[in-house]
Amino acid sequence: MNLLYIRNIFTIVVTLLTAIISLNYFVDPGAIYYRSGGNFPDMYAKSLLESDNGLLWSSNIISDRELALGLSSHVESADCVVIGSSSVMQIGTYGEPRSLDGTCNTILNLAVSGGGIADHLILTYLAIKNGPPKKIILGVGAWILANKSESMGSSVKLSSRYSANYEDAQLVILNSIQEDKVSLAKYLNLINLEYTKKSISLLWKWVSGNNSFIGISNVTKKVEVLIGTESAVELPDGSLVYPYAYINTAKEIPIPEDYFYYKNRTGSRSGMLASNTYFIDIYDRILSYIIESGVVPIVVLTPYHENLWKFKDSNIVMSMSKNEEIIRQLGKKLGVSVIGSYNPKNLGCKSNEFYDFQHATRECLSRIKMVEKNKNK
Amino acid sequence: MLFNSYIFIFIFLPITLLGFHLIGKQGRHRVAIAWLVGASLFFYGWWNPAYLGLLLFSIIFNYSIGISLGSTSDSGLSKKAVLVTGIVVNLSLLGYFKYANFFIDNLNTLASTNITLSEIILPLGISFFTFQQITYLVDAYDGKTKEYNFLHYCLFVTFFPQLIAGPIVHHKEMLPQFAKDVIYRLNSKYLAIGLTIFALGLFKKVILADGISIYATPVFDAAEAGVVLTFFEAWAGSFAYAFQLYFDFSGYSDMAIGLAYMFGILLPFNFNSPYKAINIADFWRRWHITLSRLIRDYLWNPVSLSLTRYAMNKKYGRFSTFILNIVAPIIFSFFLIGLWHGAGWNFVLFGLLHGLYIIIFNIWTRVKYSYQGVVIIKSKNVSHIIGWLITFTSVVLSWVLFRADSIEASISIYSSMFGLNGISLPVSLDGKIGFIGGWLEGMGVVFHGMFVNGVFGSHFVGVGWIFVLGFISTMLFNTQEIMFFEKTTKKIMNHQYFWYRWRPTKVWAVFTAVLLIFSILNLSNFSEFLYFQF
Repeated sequence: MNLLYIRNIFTIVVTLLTAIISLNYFVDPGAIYYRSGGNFPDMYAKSLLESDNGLLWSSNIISDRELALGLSSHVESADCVVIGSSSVMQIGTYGEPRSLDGTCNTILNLAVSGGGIADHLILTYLAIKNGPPKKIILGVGAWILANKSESMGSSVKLSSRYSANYEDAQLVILNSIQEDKVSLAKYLNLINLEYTKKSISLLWKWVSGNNSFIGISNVTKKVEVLIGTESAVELPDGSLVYPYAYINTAKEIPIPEDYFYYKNRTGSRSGMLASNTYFIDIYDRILSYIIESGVVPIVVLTPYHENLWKFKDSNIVMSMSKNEEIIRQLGKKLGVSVIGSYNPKNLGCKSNEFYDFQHATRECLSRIKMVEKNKNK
Repeated sequence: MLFNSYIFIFIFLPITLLGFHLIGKQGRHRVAIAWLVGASLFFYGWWNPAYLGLLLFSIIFNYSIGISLGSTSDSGLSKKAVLVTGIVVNLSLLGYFKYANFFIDNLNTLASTNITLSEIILPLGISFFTFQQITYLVDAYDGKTKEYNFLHYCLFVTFFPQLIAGPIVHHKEMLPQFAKDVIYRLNSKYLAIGLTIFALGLFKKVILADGISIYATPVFDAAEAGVVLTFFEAWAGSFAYAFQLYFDFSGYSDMAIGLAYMFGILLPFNFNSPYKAINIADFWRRWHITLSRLIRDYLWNPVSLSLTRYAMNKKYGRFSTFILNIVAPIIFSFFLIGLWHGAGWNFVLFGLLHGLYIIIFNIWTRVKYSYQGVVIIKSKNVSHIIGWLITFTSVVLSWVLFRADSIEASISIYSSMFGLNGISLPVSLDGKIGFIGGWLEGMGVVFHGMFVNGVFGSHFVGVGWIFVLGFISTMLFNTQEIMFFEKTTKKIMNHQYFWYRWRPTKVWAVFTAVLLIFSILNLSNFSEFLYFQF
């Protein structure tokens, strides 16, 4: 009776795990196993760089971190490489208005959504190893240095081959490995709930006739970057153009003036000043490493909506101001240009140039220029 | 190595289990024990091999002292000196690794000095294996130990299921088991029970405790960062932590018991639905049972006994006797319970707060006894519910001290919990609850929302989690009631069969497999057990 019981448990566990592993391997939402086709991120990146107008983009086709990994092999093709989070994903030189005009003739954008300090480490390491480019543009969000130190590697844990570079990046840039070991992450995805959910969702789309994940689709017409197209487009410079429906939200949906709206969206970060010396030290070392490698680092601060800045005495605004000050001091210490600002007034960004309180439109971002450095001094 | 890691579940455990039973099956019991000791040391060294030396030193030292105490027949000064030496060395090691920085910090504050000590990493499980061995020494001194085999003694201390975070086992309940032939043969019943308890524990830890932790942690972090929490955020965060701690630690204990069972070793249960307790003494009989037992047997009883004798000799009055017999041992014991959990004033205050709870309960019991004829609440059920409510709330309040990173953060959270920072209700209720709204506003209540700092994540889901975990911990049966029906509930309920009783059936196999699958799929988000830090 007991033996049968144990046998039943093992049979069920082994069968279900095998099914889940097979599902994740073959459906492969991150395109890292079966759909990697030997080297799908490289293939996709190559197709993107060779395309005239970019490729249709969806995280179902390839995750942004896998794409950044693929693009990082081609950093020599651009003057400037952009690293950061979704706030800087639209920075590029394709179409008008161009970003960082006068600073970068050509850009290769490697920014990833939710990009944290671990992403900065990995992508800086890859950009210099595979290039190096002339300049590295680092988009530093208002709270990137204020997270809990133990969550440092959390953003990269789930993303396979990309995260396999994390340990090397730490060794090369920081001369040590911090607490997160993610080299097994690629294989652990096969028995991970989040990856399984993505696989099921993708499989469902496929079964229900939406086969958009299958491969690479070229965009046939030149994209008007301020208008967009029906789907999101990854431009040949790696920058992202949102679908026009989303772009229109900036003009059509006003950003609330309710303080609690911001409180809810910034969460516990709102009370954290950039007092985490651990992260400040790490960022210091990233910038120093870039300088030592003969590359010019430029730090970009992207603006947050003016309605948020109305709450001058709030934790959120005080925290943002303090963080900007800390970053500028760091720049001053290392001789690194810090351009842009968290305050939209310093850039002249209008109220309707934001999708939400923390994501400015391409138009607003194009106002960030080297002259801002002097303006903010 | 963590129980909730792939390397443990898929590699370490199967190899260790298989090796032990294969060797044991050939009748080479000493080799099987050596194998298990070796595996346990590997398990411990996986975290930091440097501290293996400390563990080995502790084992050899205490075994030698124990042998010396056991072989010395006289009860004079020399035997006592050996015992005192043993205890002092143990406590010195613990003091150095766990309390040195705390002591120096306080010394610097008090004496305005600037003494610095390099950062000392706390060896995992040092509190557990130190106390376990001190009890061994005390029993050896009292002549209650036998001539134990060194290998057996090594396994008693290092046995990996209980090495890091207990249950704290007594040598009498562990060492005799190693001498039984039955543990060396793979027993399908033990394996089935062990596997099921392990699955229950893994699910408690990985799904329940880690699931609620994402709601508790930001609240305490925000308080530490100076955010003024709302009334509801403070309470929700504290409830969330109360459940996180319970499911984390009881999950760990279940896993430990299940693992030991797979090897044929029975470990004592550490939890018995503590959140069902109807008074604070009841709570401590149900929470971390093996620690309470150790404190009772080796601290409370001797201290209380000597103070009682002292009070009797001095012929003190009722009040002084009460202070000496009850208050002093309680405060002393709970002060040490607090300090045992961590080197910080918040832990000391946590212990003292529980000591105060116990004293109040003691006074209440005496008052109740003195007025036996006076009945305020007739219904036993109602009085139980009131008792439960007071106990549970008191415990949740005490966990704030336990979890907060500083006294300042604790005070800030308490201020919010007691409404000192105002109470804010949902905006949607503003103007919609008639005269009550006006009355509430008159009382200082505002309608800005209950979770306005946004530190409690998606609060509908978070509150849902709290209710679900509250239901599980207060309404459902616990692991031993499910698994060891015959030893527990049968005697009490006098029924033969209950639907919840574990049996090696297909339904239970499916249930256990599903628990395992869900837990395994969530293992990627490694998280340490809360009690590892103690």
